[in-house]
Amino acid sequence: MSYGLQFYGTNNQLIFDTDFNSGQTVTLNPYYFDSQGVLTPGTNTISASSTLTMNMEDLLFVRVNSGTLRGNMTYNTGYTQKYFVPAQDTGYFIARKSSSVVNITSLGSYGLEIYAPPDSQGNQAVTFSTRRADSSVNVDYIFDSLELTHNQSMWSSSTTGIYVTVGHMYYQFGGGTMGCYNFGSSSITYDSQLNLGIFGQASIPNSGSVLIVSVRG
Amino acid sequence: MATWSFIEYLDNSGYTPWTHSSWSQYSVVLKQGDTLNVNTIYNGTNTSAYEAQYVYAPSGSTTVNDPDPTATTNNNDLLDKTWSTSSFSNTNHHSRWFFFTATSAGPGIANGYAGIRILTIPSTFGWGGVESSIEQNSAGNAQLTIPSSFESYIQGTAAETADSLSTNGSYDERFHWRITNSASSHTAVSSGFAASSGDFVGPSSGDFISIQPNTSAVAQVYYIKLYHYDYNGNTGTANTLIDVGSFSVTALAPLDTTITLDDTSIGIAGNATSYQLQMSGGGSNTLYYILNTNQSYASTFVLDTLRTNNDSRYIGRTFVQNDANGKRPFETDSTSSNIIDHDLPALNTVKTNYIYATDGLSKQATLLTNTYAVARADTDITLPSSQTIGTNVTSFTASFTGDSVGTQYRLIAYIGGIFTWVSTANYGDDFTIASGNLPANGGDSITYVGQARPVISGTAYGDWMNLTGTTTQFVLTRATPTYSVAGPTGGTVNEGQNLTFDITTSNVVNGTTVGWTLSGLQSGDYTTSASSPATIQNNAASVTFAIVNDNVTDGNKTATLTLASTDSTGASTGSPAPSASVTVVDTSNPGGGGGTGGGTGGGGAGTYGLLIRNSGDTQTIIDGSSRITNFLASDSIDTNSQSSKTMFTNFDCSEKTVTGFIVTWDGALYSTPTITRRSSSLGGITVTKASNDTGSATAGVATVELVRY
Repeated sequence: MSYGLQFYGTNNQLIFDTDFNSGQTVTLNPYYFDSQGVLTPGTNTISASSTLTMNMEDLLFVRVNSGTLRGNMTYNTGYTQKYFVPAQDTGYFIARKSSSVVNITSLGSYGLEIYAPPDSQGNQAVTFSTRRADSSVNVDYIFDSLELTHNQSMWSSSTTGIYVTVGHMYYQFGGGTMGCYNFGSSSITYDSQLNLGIFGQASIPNSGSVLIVSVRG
Repeated sequence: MATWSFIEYLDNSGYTPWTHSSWSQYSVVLKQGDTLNVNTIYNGTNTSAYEAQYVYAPSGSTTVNDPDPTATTNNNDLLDKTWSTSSFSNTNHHSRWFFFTATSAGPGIANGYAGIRILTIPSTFGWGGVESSIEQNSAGNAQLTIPSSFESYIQGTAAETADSLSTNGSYDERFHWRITNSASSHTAVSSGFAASSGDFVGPSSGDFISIQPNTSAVAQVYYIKLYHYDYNGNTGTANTLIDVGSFSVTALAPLDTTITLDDTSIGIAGNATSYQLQMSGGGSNTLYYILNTNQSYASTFVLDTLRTNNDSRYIGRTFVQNDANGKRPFETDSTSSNIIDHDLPALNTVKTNYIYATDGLSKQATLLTNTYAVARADTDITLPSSQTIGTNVTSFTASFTGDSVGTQYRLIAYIGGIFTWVSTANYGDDFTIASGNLPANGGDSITYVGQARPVISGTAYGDWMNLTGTTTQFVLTRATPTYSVAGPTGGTVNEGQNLTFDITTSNVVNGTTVGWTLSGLQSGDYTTSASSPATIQNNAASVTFAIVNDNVTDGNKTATLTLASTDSTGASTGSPAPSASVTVVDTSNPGGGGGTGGGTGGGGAGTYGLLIRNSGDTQTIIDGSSRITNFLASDSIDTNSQSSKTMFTNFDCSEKTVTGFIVTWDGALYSTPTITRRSSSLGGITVTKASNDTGSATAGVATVELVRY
């Protein structure tokens, strides 16, 4: 397309671009499930051993105040849903694209909405809408695939309000970890090491990107 | 108590008193408590003489030392009366009695006067202390105690307004003492003592006599008696007895010739005028003398005459017994505060002195085997001046001047809480201070004190003494280390470049370490093989960090390297601790760009841009500092059936600073597929089955969510 909308931040970082290749850009917003299972803007806490059920496309961000952040991610047969069971009480939110959530009625009927170009059926996805989010996910740090090894320091500032992504996560007592974390008040380290019995232990690097983010707004 | 009675004829023309002796100004001397009777008789020829009368004095007082006012009339003759009293005061020592002859009409007949002067000895006058036991051939004291108010009356210096006492000291009342061999006897023993009787002449309190029994004095109890002189000038009688003391004479014990000198090699400083020496052992009946000769003396020779005659052979003696520590000092003079100051050796010379034992009368001088040497060292040398030494100095030569043969020198210092003998030097040598006795690195200082000792003979030396010249010590100080830190020239470094901090020092020994901390960067912002502390070599060290592209356009950062406050030697690195700051330029910036219609792209900086607030306008959701996650697409690969898959070809996934992938996987944990970014022109990524994903046990489905940020 030769037209559209882009905006950048003060350090020239891209914030929004309707012209990113296909123009199908959608902005992720933080949500959680309330006690009735209703998707609600904001963040929440899930108790240890509870199950958090998400769409496969939902991105899960988690945190703890201090200590290990471990759990298991499993999937349904059709890979349309995934289930996260934390090993400890865990703060979380899921980031869901704007086109997949509805307007927040309390935000009113005005604001800024950006639509994607119509698809073959003429439908236009909402790529950005102030009516669908009262907060945003701010990226603070990025590790590319395979950049992390077990026990590597990922963050050395305050961890207040800091979340990390969960791709695949595995934890078994005595068996090891994969894609887990250790939180301190001012540190986050990567926890991903399998116990191989007589063969010792093996560090499992990150598969896919790991984002360190905070919720703004 | 004694009673004194005599006749006083009223035949004088005035009251001038007579005296009992030429050296006394008193007519009568008596003890408080004695009775005095004076019979006054007019023996003149005046027929008008009617009655003997008394003048009360002083000032008409009838209460102090006056006689009975109702005098006894003898023979019914008023011209023959006896005046008496037994009530002499213990504190009013002197009294004057005046008599005259009156007519029947009253006073006033020439040549009918008389007067006497009375001295009353207070009851507190007497022996204050008598040595209780005195060995033959030794001496002990008997000491007087005299009330101070009484002293002037017996020394002829008391002044009274009511009487014309002599005050010029020309009269001094005398008191007699004698040694008797029984309590009742008043006869002095005839032998056995250097003196068995004598007088105190105008004595003061504390005066004493020396009782010196010799070997002929029978070992028994003796009595020492104190008398006054009566109105006839007589003494040594029961009536004149004032006080009695007693003492025992014990048989002569052998001299104790076994002593130990505290020091047999005494060193004295070049400017010394005296030295000290003590002994231990010995006997309480034995005196010890130091002479500079070892000749023999007759047993009757009084060795102390060498002292009293200031003989050149005499060095010192003991004057007191052993103290509580069993020590007895030698002294040249009894008042010289335990010092010996006779016959000191000249510079760099040695003298040998000899010890004698004598009895308490300084007789029976016996040469002992004890000797000692005293030598004078040259303690006036010039030491090096205080100075700072480098951190690489491991041995220091301290040259000094002014030394001389016959003296040895050393340096001592207080090192590590211990006084340490640092170095020794003989004449012509220098001091050498070894590494372990030099100040530690880090600005430490040590004070070295010089001492000297005389060479007695061969390898025998006198005592060490402090120096006495213009320099007695010097200080060595290690140079103080300095630290500084500097970043690269220009103060900036880009992501992807190395950031090196150079630590520059001075006066720091190789191998010294100094801690450092880096602030302003996150651990993921850099990689480094450097670790704290840094090791200093040749006064330099460096710490290098490889700054990584953090894939986040998060702005420039300030990296600061700060040194620890002290290095491994404990030396301060500075206050505040040195530090350097460098700007790490954020080169992760993807640049402006923008759409084809986006004009110049970029933007956002400055005072314009997009600001989105929440509905309550209480919080900012998006502004120029936001870094927003955008979801682009998702895809999956099932490694049960696919060995690789290319995804997201519609998207440029070549830059990890722009795109990321959130991956889920349900296969074997160690068989996650790998993700390879394709070039910008090809677009997308390739997800490849892992090599160890060899079957259904390891295979799984990887779901990849493509996000942009």
